[in-house]
Amino acid sequence: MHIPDNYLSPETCTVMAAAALPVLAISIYKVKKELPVEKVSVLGVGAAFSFLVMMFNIPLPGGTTGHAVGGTLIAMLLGPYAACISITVTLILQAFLFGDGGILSLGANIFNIAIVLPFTGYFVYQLCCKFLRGEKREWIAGGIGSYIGINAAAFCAGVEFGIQPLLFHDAAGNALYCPYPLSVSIPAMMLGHLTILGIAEVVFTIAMYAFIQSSAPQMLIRTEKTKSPIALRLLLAALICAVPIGLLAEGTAWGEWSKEELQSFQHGILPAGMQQGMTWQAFLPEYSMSGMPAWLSYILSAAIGASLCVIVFILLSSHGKKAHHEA
Amino acid sequence: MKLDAALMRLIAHMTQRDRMDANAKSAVIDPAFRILTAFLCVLLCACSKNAVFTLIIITVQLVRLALLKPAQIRAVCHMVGTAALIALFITLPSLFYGSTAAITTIVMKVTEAILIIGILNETLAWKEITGAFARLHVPGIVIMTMDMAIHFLVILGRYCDRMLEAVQLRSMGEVSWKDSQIGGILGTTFLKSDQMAQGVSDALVCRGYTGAYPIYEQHQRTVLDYLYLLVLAGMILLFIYTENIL
Repeated sequence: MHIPDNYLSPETCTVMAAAALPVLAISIYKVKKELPVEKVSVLGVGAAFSFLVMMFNIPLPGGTTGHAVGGTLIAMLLGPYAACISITVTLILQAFLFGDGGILSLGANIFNIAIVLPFTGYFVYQLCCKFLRGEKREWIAGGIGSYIGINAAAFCAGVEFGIQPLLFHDAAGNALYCPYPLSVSIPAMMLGHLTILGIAEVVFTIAMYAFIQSSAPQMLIRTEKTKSPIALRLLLAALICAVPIGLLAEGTAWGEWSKEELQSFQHGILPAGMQQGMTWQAFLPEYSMSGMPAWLSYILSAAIGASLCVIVFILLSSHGKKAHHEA
Repeated sequence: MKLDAALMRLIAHMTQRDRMDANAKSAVIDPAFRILTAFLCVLLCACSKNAVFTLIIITVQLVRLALLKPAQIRAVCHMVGTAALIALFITLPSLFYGSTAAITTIVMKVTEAILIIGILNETLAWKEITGAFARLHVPGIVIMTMDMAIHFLVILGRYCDRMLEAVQLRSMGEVSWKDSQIGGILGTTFLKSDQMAQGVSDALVCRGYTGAYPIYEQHQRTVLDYLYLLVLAGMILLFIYTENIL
């Protein structure tokens, strides 16, 4: 679901960034106002989980892959505004350090994955909670919310891909950017997410929610406690060690192909806008490093990403505390 | 006209844990082993000819950093950020020669070294560091000189700062170092330090100081210490492996 650079026109990227910025600003305002400063560091744990979950690639029919996000889970734990910030930080780290998702298309990715997904998922979760009864109602509501959330995000990504050939083409009608129209991009994006990836998101959300409910219940309610329980740390460590499983899924996610891959699908023709597009030299491109075994670079990337997520939010929380004391 | 507060803060921070954690439990792992590992780590990274070993060490240190307390994380990040920026600034001219690899390598190695030393500084009390030096057979006189210097830098710094403030209060407008009675201030500070040194020497003699620098609190080595030595050996093997495969 991470849209790479050059698949969307600069105009689309600008519009998406303009749409995402106000929501991010409101989220930051809401989190500062509503979430206790002591809890801000927990956002880092949420971001780290989301980062790791996105590294578990799942094979899809047709030779492509996809992954869960965990956005609804973070929204259930900390609220949709906090989830929005958490996933945004994850996406920024992924784009700049690991080249997963583009720099120009960061606004579009934030809109789809960090805004549409957690807000839709949380809204559906809240709605279901009102109508459902019984002990497991939160699990069921979370499952439904996460399923609809990830599909809404995938639909948005499909629309963004699909409108490119309609809006941006040359005089001969050839697409300048993503060459696939809505009739191709929406089914291609939705097929995987309505089936395997949607189910993966549901399973991840419910399993993690059940685990946190039993081992770290203080994360569910808004208390002043901030110490991450050992069980959560162990779970993070286990996820880091298990990420090479994601390498078993061969192939690239739909719409995340490199220029060369896309060229081979298009019988050697690359859209004009993509030929001279932006290229970003990431520190660990696609979670790999030349000369290092793939599994090792994948584990190192997971550890670096998860640690940075935690560190960034701890720094933000200590900055918040300082400002709070000064005030 | 003020003393450079950054140096004072750094030195005060080094000895802060001695005062704050006076009753805290001593380190789980022998501090001597930890210091040895840190120095070896920095040395091996400096010697490594590829980024693999350095990247593995940076990853491990980042995970360790993420597990520290927020105040410690902030302190280490401040140190690492400043050092990395300076390294980046110094190596920027290599861009004109088209060598981006040099920038990455140097910034990575600087980051790694400061990260290791920063985490060590945050997780070990100053008294544990001096104790570890003694266990590593560093001569007592060297440790004592270092210990005294660290403590007296803070005391004399404060003394000097008070005198500078007094000069500032007597003067009109902005006073620069050139115009102030800097010679007099530093000279007085030197005389004061001489007096203090004499006082410390007398106090030491009164308490039976004979020139020896014994360690009173011995770290009882446990299985964990020996397991830590295995980590040390593993690190050396990893270095050899990463140097050979690439």
